[in-house]
Amino acid sequence: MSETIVALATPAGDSALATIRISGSLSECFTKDALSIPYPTPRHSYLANYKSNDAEVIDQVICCYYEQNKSFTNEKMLEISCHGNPLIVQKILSDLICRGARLADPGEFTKRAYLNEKIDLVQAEAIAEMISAKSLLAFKLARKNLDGNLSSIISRVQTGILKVRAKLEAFVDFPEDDIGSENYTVIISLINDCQLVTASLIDSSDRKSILDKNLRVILVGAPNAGKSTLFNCLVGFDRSIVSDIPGTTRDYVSKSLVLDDLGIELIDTAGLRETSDQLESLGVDNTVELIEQADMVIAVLDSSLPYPPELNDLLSHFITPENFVIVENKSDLKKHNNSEKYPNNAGVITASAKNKVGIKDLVKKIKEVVGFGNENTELEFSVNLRHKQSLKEVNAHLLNAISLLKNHQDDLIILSELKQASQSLGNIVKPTDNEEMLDHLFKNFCIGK
Amino acid sequence: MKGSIGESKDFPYDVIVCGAGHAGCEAALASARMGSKVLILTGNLDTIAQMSCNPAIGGQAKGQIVREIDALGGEMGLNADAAAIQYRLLNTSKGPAVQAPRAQCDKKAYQLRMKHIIELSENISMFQALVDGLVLEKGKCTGVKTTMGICFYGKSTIVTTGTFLQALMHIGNQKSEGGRLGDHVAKGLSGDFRRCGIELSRFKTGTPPRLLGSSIDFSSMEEQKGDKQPTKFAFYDTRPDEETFHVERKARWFHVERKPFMPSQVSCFTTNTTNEVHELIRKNLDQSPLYQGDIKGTGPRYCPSIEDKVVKFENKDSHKLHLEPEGLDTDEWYINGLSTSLPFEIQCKILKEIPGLENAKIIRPAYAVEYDYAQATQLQNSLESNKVENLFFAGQINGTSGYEEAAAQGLVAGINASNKSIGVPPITFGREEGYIGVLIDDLITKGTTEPYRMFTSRAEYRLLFNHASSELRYLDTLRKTPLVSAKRLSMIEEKNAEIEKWIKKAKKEKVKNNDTFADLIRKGRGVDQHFPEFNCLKASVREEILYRIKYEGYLLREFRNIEKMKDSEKILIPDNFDFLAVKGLRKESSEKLDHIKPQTVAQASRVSGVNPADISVLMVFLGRK
Repeated sequence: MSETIVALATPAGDSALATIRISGSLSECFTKDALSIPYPTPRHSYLANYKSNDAEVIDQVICCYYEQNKSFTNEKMLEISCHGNPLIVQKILSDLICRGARLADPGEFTKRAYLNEKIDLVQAEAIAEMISAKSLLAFKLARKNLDGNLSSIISRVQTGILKVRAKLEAFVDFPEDDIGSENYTVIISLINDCQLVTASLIDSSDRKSILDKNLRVILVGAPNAGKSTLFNCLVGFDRSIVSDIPGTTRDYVSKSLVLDDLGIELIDTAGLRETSDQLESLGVDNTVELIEQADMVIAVLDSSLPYPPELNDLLSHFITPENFVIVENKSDLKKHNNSEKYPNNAGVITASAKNKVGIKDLVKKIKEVVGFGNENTELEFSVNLRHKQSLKEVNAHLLNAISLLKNHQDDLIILSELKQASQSLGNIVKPTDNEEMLDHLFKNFCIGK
Repeated sequence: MKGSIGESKDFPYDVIVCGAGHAGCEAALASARMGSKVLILTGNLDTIAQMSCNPAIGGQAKGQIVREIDALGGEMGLNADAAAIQYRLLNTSKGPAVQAPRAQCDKKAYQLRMKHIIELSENISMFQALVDGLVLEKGKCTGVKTTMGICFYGKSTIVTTGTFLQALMHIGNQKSEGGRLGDHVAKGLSGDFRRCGIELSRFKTGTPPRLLGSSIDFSSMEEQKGDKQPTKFAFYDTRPDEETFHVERKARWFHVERKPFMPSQVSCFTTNTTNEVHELIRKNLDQSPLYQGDIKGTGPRYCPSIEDKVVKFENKDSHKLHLEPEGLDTDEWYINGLSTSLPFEIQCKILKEIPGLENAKIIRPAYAVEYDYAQATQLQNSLESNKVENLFFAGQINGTSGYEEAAAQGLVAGINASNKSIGVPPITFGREEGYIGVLIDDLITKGTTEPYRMFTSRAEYRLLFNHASSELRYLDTLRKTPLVSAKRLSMIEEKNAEIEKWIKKAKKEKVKNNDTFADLIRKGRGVDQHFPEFNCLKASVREEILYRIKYEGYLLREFRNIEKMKDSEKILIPDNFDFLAVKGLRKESSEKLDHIKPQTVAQASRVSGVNPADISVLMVFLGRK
């Protein structure tokens, strides 16, 4: 019915192996004609010679055939692993096209999986997110979506709303039936439950958006407070390395690194002190700009010296002051008591960058500050912008419904809000219709006067 | 045309209606109003417009439909008003949009009046004959065959077989053929339909026993009186005098003391089932054809048999029962809520355990009936068949249940069969216009898996569908058709203009401090203190103004949603469009669309299982073409 598509699944270029993927009804013919395996056992690896249409052996390959409804796309599929020489790959691809396949469009395998209802929309998005994830954490989240975590939580909320609608509709459409009376307190609390879930999903989307880019963490502090030593310590903490960011000016140094699965752009700034030196004051202006764009600020103090008064002025430029941590560096020296001057609620870490003491605590603190500190705060699903847009609508309709209920408004108007909530929610995974509401209604109420 | 029934192939009727139930009567009358020469055929002239089940018209969502039928010139509203013996307005504690009138009717009076209306109709011929086949020519339906061996010829044919098609009744293990106790079965047609490629399936419905009133102890039951102020179905404020109860005027029908406006109303009564009843039912489930697998058809969930209620809601120790009188000249009572297919002797035992019915005498047993219906997804929105040209379907054969749903389809099929007979494009009814539009659209785009009944929740714009605004909503259709007289149309136009004028005025004119009249209405304060001429308006006009102003924000939101929907309603899908060839449609969706063949993108979007992504693919495809 649909065309058979083919694509190289591994990156182009020289490599040990290259994998070519084929999806569509011709997969079976290819196995028979090009690989001389007439009746392949599905999901079984064969060693075979790939023979072109004009009977020339192109390469010795490993191949695996998947039957319909049990493959990634739900179509017949074939995977061929050949040697990773681009010339061989090109020859095999041309031969498959010659035999009737066509090159797949970008993302077409996933699209077919969706069209053939192997995966839902959220899962299709998850595959794209997994491929482009910037950090291990982002990858893990997308992976959870592919498992259906988000889909299932959305469908639980949808069921919750449908049940409330069914309750209210029963009293609208069956006023004479023997179905008891409406209990608005219960209804409000049921809507409330749904609303709390959508609110937490929206919140997790905000947290998740941190993972979509490298987190900008900036180090500030007086000269000689130990910023650069700490910078190098953190860079050293990351064993996978690390690229210089192009365009780094001499006013600050920046590295992108991965701290405990979290992608970070770490920035070391010029010193703090006001100065008449034009070059250095330029550096301070730059620091202000960096702080304005930062996701997190780490102030490095020389704990043996008084608290630098300029620091709090500088921090006034930071838009998320809760993402602020003070590192009391040089813990090996005698401590000068400064803490009453610290901004309110600032997180404090004691460290000695020179002796590599307290670095682990700092990494933990960084994760905590951006919301990934411990197991309890671990996200269970990945809520992207598209989901968030719909969830915000759902949330607004649910809040409206609650306030209308509290003001004893007409059931019909409340139902109209709830129906729109259902619709917005339906845009995320799959739409619901009135029949589903009626199913709940007839299951829960004995209708039939 | 009056006079001979005639059977000439060269002078066919414009429209033939097979069946004279609620769909058939309304269909024949609508075709006649449209100017067609109509023949209505029924297996039994004495059961025209028979209420086979409960003796009531209207109720939630249905009451609104009856008012819409009246707005479109139909007969059901007037007929129910003429035969009403008790009125109740339902849902008075909720917003105007879901308030619904209902009337208990005198069953015989209802039938006789409808029959007489048809008899007096200039354009309708009536004849008792059982249809058992179609006359087909080149894939078009040109007439019907009857068991008398006579054929009748018509340019359009409307089939309204109700529950009679291949009908099988069950009382316990006893089976007999027939669509209603004491009536015949319609055979032959099913075969013809199948030969034309029309798929049929089975539905089941049931009806409770009828009791003799003198054997019922009403003193132990709760009485339900009618409303002090009846809410009638017909729009008397826009009906010229000569068009109200015209039959009664012409034919001196009914005795003086039974003038349509009832001097006093009768009461209904409620009682309930007991644990003993439930025990009895559980013990005898093996004698219920429903639970023995004898009944293959699907029954309605909203109108389950008593055995279904007991099994599915086993924690409920009592179910309510309503006793409704079947008429003024009879002591027969209908017991709503006790429909069953259990054997007769069990039915008798059950009654003995119900308060007030201990000594009740059954005069007709309860029974279940199975019948053939054709999924309405095989129809266009004119109710013409996709498979056979000039053949229309209306009523229970389309998988619906209920007198009102049937009558509404009859009206639509009647109008369009008439248009088809003279080659005029169909009149269609949109989901945004009222319940009739929702009904037709649901049936043709979704079909139904149980006998379809209207619920207000099925209408996405129900806030606009308050029963009192029906005739205003259908103004466009009324302007385009001769369904109502010119005089009545001008009265409706006046009413519409009056309402619009007042709404404009209310929003503009400041009456107190900085508040406009509309502000006061919204706050519900001092509405009657500012414009004496407003207080003098007809109640129907005043209430519509108040409703539209009070709910303005919500109504506007509905209008915006309608606009959005209409955009996609405008994108037509060509006839013979190949949905299977659309690349990028999910398999399930393309197969469903191919089966249902929606006529617009909006219709396609309402097909169940079709999602927004499918619709964007379809739009792209249509755009490219």
